[in-house]
Amino acid sequence: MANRTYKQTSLLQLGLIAALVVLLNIVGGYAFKRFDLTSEGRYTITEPTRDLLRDLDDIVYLEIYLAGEMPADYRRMQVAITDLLEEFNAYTSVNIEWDFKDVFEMAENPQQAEQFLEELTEKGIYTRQIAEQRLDELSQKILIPGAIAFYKNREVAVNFLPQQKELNEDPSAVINSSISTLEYNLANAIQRLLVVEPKQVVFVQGHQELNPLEVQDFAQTLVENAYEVDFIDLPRSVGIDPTVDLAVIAKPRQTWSEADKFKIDQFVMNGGSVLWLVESLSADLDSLLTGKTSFVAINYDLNLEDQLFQYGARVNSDLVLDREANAIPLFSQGGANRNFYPWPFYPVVFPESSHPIAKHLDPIMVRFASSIDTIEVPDVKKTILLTSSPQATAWKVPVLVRLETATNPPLPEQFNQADIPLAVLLEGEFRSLYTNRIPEDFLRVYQDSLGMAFKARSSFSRQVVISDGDLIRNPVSRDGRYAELGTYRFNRSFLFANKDFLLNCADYLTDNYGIIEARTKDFKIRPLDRERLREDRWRWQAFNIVVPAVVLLLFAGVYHFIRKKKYEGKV
Amino acid sequence: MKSLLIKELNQFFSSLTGYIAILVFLVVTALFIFVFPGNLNVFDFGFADLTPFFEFAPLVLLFLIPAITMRSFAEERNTGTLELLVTKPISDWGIVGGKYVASLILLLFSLLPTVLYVYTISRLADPVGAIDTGSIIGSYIGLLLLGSVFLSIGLLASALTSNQIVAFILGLFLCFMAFYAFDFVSRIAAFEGDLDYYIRQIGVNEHYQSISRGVLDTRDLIYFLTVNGLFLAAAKTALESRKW
Repeated sequence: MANRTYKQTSLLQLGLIAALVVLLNIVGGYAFKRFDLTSEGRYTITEPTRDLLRDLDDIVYLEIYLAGEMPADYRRMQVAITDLLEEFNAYTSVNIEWDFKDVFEMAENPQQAEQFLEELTEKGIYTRQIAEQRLDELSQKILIPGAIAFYKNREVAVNFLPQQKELNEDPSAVINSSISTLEYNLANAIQRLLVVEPKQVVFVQGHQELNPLEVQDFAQTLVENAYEVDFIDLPRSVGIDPTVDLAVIAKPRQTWSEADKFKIDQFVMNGGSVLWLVESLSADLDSLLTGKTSFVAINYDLNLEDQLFQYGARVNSDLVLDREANAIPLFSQGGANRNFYPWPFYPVVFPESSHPIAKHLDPIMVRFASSIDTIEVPDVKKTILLTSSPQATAWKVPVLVRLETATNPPLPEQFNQADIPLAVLLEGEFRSLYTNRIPEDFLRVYQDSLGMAFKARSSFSRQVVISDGDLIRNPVSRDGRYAELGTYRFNRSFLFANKDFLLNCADYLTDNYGIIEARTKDFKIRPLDRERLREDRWRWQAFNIVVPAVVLLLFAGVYHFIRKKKYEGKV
Repeated sequence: MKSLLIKELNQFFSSLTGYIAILVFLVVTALFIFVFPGNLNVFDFGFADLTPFFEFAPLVLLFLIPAITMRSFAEERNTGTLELLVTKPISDWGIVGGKYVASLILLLFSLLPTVLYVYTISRLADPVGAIDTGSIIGSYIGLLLLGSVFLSIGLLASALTSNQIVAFILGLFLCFMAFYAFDFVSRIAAFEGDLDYYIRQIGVNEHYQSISRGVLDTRDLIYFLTVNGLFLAAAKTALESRKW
């Protein structure tokens, strides 16, 4: 009987401990803290992303197609995706779940795989061709570094890598910067799943802006990224509806009336964002296509100077010449062969800014850009997004644009201006250009017909000013088809990052959570030295096998020796 | 308790089995991490990163740790020295604690040589020394916590039987279950939805993965410490069951 009570106490004690264990774990789940031990804070999720994740109220499921056999760089990407999603799960009350699916394994035959691929491409997922060297045999393989994310009854495509620019590019740099922007890419997809209301973008027309076909590729990209795109004939509209999130003004070439400026002004005052792609000089390669070898770039006289000035930027009447430039084909003097020469009027911009819009971006293609000055305006913060290379210059109007400048460029010392601003972000509370300038009776009509009051000062709002209209222009062929934005006609194997840059602008200008902040994260790549590894590989292998074993045996020897001594001493 | 600790350690280092277990652990690990081609090969991976090691180590510890702990109670019970031990002026908690601390020291001893791996990748990194020390320290913390859970499970297994082989196999089985089973079970279709998440949370793997990446979460710490406590308490109960 006594034994039984002992047993009962003993088991009761164990039961109590088990209950305590469960309790502690449950309580610990409510108040937790995470310490990121990595040196660059790799797993620290940015605050806006956390806010976003907290707002999820159902399971997010990702079907990730980066699966199967793949080179190490891609595997690193795969690991990073898993890591990040697990990190995300620490902040969701619901759950994010995922599966890696190898499309080629799932398919029963090559045709079906082909069909899968087609479907995914249609949904906006980029595939990558990689060359594989194996036993002297060079084969090509297709990888799908993307996923479809499902939430409630919605789905969006996620791309982990930018579109492939060149077949033979070295993937490690691309993958590294893509791992850095992984949090943003995933958070962006989740935001698109969560925010049902699509963002409204209008392209302003009516001042000889680029026509819909010329901006088609970017417009299409916006649609793929859950924006709603519309074109508006501004002179014939009463204004831009305040429900519109972003107005794009792409390369106007005609003088603006005060009425249209007023419509933009009030759109800004009511919190709308504007993406200006405005150049001051009329320069177009079309002028040269007719067989001429030079033209003079003169002012468009857009009448937008005072408005931009009011908001904090001035697009100067000049053209930027950069030593870092795209090449054009020219016959060398007296030669019969066509050669390629960098044309300083076609700068190639390497984004250096650490701002989320421009960070981790590939080079951007610019054609006939002007320099931008920022103007001191109260309550407006200015951030320079794109600049020329350290070796550039700006020629004042009127500029003689000659093809010959490529073969016969200015002397290197004449490229004496560094980092000329080409794109500027303005954020803050803007003041209206029209304060005290509008007659009372007009304002009354404005108010009565539109039901809107004149606003002299905006709430927090954002604008981006880019001094090159061609940055958004996709090539259009004579038969009305368009090529991808970022393709340069004389080097079609490379895709410039114009589209990525503009999409980032749109995302930033319309972002409610501010998740784009996550684009500034840096991931350090820590490679092994391949050279030394190849030379010393077997030495290190031997070292790691033999040394621990020897150390262990030495320990055993010494231990037994001491024991024996001790034992003998006792006897 | 101190004398018990020293006795335990001496016993381990005097026997050949202990050395063989550790030697096999070190050689097998080094072979997989540095020699055999495959997903676990750090040199093929090409990055100054020991993730493959920390992925592989739990598998090896699954065997090493039951081998370390199998004798602790089973042998004493078999040879009758357990009775002697119990009559000494030391509580049951003291006995379990002493054996646990002794095997923790042995675990540390076995893992210590793997610091050479860190040295290796640090020397081979480009530039030399460019490794993420913080995340490696985190991974080691995770590995030690994982090992400590395996140890307490191993001790329980050893306390349940008087046969070392049975203790080893039982320990291996229980460690395996604790590590993987919940992951597998959670994938059963019936648990899809919210339940699979919680089932996975019970398992060791989920918590190990999280720390191993270099993120120290207080929830994972609490998990490891309490689970250790639970299995040690169970071992103590098993020890007491002789008196029932």
